[in-house]
Amino acid sequence: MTRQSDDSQEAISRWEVQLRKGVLEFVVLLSLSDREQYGFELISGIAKRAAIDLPEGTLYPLMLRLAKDGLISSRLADGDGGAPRKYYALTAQGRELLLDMIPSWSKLAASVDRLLPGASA
Amino acid sequence: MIPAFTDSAARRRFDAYFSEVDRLLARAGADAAELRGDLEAHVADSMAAAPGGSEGERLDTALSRLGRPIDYLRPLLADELIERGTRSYSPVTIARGLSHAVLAGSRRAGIGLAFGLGYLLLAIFTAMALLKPLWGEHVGVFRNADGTISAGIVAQSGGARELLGWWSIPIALLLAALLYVALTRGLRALRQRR
Repeated sequence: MTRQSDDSQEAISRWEVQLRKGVLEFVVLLSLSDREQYGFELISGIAKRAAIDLPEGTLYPLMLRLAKDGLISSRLADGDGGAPRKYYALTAQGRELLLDMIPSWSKLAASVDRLLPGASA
Repeated sequence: MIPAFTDSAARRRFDAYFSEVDRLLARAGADAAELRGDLEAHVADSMAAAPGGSEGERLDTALSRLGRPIDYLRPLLADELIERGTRSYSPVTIARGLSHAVLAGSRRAGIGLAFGLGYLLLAIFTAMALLKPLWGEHVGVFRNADGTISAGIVAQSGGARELLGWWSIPIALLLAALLYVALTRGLRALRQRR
């Protein structure tokens, strides 16, 4: 592989990481809109369903911030093996914010799609 | 929830990883214990969900998927230190927070650099006030022989006329104080808006 294509690959990787980090808050709120989930379940689901593969540790500082902002709540409940697990759920405020975020996301995604080569104007 | 290890080498790697987490979280304030507990539980869940392999292999995969602590804790540290620094008006804490913000990359880097430059300007005003009594003919606002104006700490001031005299000291101190309050309040407002 040439050095130029290595550089380009690296630039794309950096851009993808920033892009994923940028949408992580929205994706977390979306994932929790169905049902409450514990941390590992949440990040595994996001990686599987949304193909957003981030360092898993990124999730926890974000969850702390979302809880401080009143968008999610957490409770301890028994896990599979009996050890308590922390389950996260959307609060009413979080659900309201998510409902406002969805049209903004759709509008942004559609606007960017229209700029792609071959898209009809 | 700490995984129950039977492999002592795996346990040592787990402890080494979490001693790095502890070192970083020591500056993170009240959330440190909760965050550490969340990360431990995540490792235990991740190891339990792994399809196979030895305990050591499952731990290594879990830790590698979690990422390097400095990478995912840096933004949190930047926020905590800036919040604490702007609350107490502590320049050292703010500087540490800004350095973490710069190293965290992207938008944080831009904000960190902009505020870092603001604080550098503040340091220059303070240095002007302190150096004026010692190096008076090189500190102040100067009109040069060619009519241009220079300000600050000037190495070559031959032929230039100093315009402010001793007024440089209270003016520099006033500007430094105003800049400090404005930057610190700006940083606090920015943090609260996020």
